[in-house]
Amino acid sequence: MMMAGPVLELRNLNKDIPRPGREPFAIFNDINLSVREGEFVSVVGPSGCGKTTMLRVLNGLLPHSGGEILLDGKAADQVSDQLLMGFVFQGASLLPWRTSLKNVLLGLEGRGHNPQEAEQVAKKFLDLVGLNGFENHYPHELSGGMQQRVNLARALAVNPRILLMDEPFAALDAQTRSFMQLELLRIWAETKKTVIFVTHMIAEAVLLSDRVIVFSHRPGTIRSEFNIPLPRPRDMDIKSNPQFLDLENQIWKQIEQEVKAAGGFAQL
Amino acid sequence: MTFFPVRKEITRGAISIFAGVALWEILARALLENELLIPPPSSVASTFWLLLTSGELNRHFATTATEFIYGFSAACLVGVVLGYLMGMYKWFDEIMDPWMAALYSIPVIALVPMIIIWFGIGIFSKIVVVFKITLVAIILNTAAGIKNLDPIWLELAQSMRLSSWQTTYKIRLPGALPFIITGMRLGVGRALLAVVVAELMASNAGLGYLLRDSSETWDSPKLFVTVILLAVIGLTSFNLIKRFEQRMAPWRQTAEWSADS
Amino acid sequence: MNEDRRNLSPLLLRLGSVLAGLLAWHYAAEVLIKDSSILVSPLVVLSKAYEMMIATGELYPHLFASSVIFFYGFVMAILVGVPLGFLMALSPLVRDYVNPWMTTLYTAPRIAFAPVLLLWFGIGAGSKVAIVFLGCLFPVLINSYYGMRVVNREYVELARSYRLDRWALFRKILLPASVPYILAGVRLAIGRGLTGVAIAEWFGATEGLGYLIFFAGQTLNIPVLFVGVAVFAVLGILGFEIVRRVEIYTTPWRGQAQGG
Repeated sequence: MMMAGPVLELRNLNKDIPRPGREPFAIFNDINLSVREGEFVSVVGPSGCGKTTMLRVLNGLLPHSGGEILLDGKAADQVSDQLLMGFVFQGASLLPWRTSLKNVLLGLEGRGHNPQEAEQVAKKFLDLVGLNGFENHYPHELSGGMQQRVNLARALAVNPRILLMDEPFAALDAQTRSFMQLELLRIWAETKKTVIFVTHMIAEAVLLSDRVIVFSHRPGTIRSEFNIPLPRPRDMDIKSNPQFLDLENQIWKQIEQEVKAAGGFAQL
Repeated sequence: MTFFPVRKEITRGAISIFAGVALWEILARALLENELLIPPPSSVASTFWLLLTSGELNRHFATTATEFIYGFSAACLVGVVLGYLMGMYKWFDEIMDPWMAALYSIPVIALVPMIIIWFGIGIFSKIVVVFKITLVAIILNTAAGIKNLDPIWLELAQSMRLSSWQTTYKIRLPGALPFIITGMRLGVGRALLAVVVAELMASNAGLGYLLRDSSETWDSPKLFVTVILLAVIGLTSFNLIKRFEQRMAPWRQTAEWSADS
Repeated sequence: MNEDRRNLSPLLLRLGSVLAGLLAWHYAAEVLIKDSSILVSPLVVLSKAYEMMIATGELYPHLFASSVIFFYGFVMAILVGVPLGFLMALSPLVRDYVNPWMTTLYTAPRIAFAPVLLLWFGIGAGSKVAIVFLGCLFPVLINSYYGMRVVNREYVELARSYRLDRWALFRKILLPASVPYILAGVRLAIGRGLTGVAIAEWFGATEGLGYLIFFAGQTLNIPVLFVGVAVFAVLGILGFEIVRRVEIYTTPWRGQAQGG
């Protein structure tokens, strides 16, 4: 079951923003990370530490300033035109003038797919995220949780190598968020995707992941990694598991330290 | 009471209009010696019927309609293209900006004499008038629409690796559509005014011509028919576009009354 | 220093564009179309403007006449439009009765009413002020109505929870909050008012900017025509700028004035 090499490898990745006449503004430095196929990796860290920026760099939305990104061993630039990443945005990013079905089809259009096939694929993924019957609804007719599910279906429909998720549940209320976490676990188990998941909620990270990466304060580097050996399939009960609580606590302590080192909470 | 809220509004509106017309009739009859001043609605109605059946009204209406439709459609096409360019390329926006500001601030009516001098009395000059007046509204609104696209949609396009043509076609234009249609709505009122003014000034046909003709010959019923017809046309086109606007962009809460010129 | 450079560049583009346009205009007038009854060079227009403003001062009586008419119509429209708009927002009864008339009069091309108003009020200043009034009224009315309606919904509950009585609610909350909407309507009213002035002076006027333009049009006096149009443009821009200043002064909590 182990693949030959990691799906994603980051070597000494860094990003800074040049400022005329001053030192460049460093966002993150020296990121070294290796992600295996089918792994669920979460990234947590204090606000402003650069984790979201790193995700967008991986997605090709931003250029990196140094280091390498290797996908299946090949440099990312060489494969940048292929749709290898699926990105799930934080906020509502659905096109309001398209139905959920057509939103999901966005990544499939114009890529040489047979239209009927593409529609079947889109329907399949909408069904997978639990929105069977809502194909012809417009985003403004859907709740926040439903919109995020369309978001997810859209990212999955292009069959990406890696799924990048940028705090996808942050805008949802706590209850919906919990349900969505369970949904994500189910969908992930079915699709077996490699996921990199950025979040602020430590419990969420521990619940969902195989591994949790802790970022330091800005400029972000990887401060530590935590393996999450909790058994799967998981559900909400696992949150009372002592090992869960212990991991959560350890991670929280690290983040607390990072925030203090950055100058305290008021500085965030 | 809250059973049919819509009906209550319509009822009151209808009562208001009916009362107005009735008042008009009474006053007009009472001041019979000044029938030239306020023709009673009954005489207006009969004149209307006369003009309609003689075909005179249709002829003038058709002229105005033709001028309007050609000018307006041409302006929409050109305007969307130019507005898109202005929205996309800042340097183009800067170049066009002073001219747009000037054209927008000059009252519709001040431009008409120039256009008539240049393009003559015929239909073409009126088409040009409509074109020019509508163009500014469409350009400005299209540019605003392109500039105000939610940046997350553009990120999405990049994330999905869409080509720039696909991004324009699938994301930019549909995203800017509500603004474009608002521009059309703003343009309609001004264009209608402009075409009537132009016809009033120099033409042999059209509703504006009818306006001048009937006022010069002191034919009050005819004048009133023309005025009411123009009001109805204005009302109808406004409502049509508003309906269109709501259908095309149901996700946008268009204000019931948006500020427009 | 880079900031300055970034601010300079759009300015340069705009100036460059205006200059290029003026040059093209000059070229077209002097070289391509040598007929002075169709187009004249901007230099000719400028010298005419100088002549009319400084040498003979003949512009000013017209400017004054138009301004007076505009002022009366404009102010009356605000005095009637704002309270009526508020009334409509706060009383559904008033709204339903006024609505059909408002819609009709608003969407109809104003020039259609000019002959009728002329019929009733005669050729004097009355009919002209009426036309300007009609033009200015509706943007102000509609925007006041809409503004008050929106504000009313948002803040009525707030006021209730602080147990403010209706008058205090109106004065302290609703009125200040609807100012931006009213000003947006005023801004539009300026544009429509200027058009109204031009329309009003079309019929049977002997002075005024509108009269100037039309008479110049009739006599193919292009320089004067252009001067008239230019004055209108300047007035329009001035008007917008004044409203913008008023807006910034009365509503300092807003980041930027909304675009007209």
